[in-house]
Amino acid sequence: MKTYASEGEIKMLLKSEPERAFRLIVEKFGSKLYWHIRRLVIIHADADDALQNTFINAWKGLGGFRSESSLYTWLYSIATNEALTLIRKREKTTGVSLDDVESIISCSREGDSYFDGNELTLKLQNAILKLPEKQRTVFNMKYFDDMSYDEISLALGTSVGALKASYHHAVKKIEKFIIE
Amino acid sequence: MKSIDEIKKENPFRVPDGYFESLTERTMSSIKDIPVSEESPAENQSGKVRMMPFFALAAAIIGFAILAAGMVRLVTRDAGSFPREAQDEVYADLVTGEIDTYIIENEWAASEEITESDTEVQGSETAVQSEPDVQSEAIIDYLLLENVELTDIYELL
Repeated sequence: MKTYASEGEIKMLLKSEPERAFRLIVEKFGSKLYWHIRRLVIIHADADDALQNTFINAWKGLGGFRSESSLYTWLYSIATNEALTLIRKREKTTGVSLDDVESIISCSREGDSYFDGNELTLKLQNAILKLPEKQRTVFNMKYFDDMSYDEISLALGTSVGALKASYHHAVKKIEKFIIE
Repeated sequence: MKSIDEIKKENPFRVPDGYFESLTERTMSSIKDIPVSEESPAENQSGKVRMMPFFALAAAIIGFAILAAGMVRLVTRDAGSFPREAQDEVYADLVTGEIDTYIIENEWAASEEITESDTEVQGSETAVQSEPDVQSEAIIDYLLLENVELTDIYELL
């Protein structure tokens, strides 16, 4: 199993060797950020675009990153913003709100070659897509990425109480949708 | 199935072969010519998020001001519109005033007409006075035709 540099080690390199530090960032957080974005945008090509934009923006803003902050939550914040921006642009382009996996896949060029979930996981994904933007983001970060409320709070700039309420509502809606 | 916890956290999404292996190199080549700035996009974003309550407060104040202005306008308009009786009084006063004005104007006009007619009458009297002899002669002629005594005629005139 590949071992990655710790946040502390990366932060120490940021000033002296920014390129090397950034390489370590991409290696450490690349796949996590990709899956976070992918669960929001569904399509692989869109996720790849949003991920590249995330890293470009992170690189551009690296000089302004404060060492006392968490790299993990900082990158999640940029990635979430990029994913949501892409979703809004896509909805604007297609003119409809794409709230189920089938319609999103049918609108994409890659078809369903990168989706092979069973009926239950497809239903879960469709239920998540029916959630409002904020609830969807919070649910994915908590349920799939196992992030703590404090980490999500730092990444999204929302209070822990509001996040708990969002997650609770999201779970209730999803369970209701799946049972129906 | 009653709870979301009963669903296995299976990942239904797939990626092209070798995607993650090439991710680092592709990313590093895409940032190669981009300079690093001092401003963090996430911190900039969180700055916007921090400002959100102030924007919301400003929007609420503006909304309240618009609402208050609307209410004031509504109340002012209500105060301006009198009850039915008061309206009747106002209209009555207005009509009376109009009538008074009408009368005054007509009286004025009438007085002007009177003055003019008076002038005409006075003029005609002057005319009559300027022709007293003509009338006296006609009367004398008439009385003479009626065989009235000349001495009586002088007494009558």
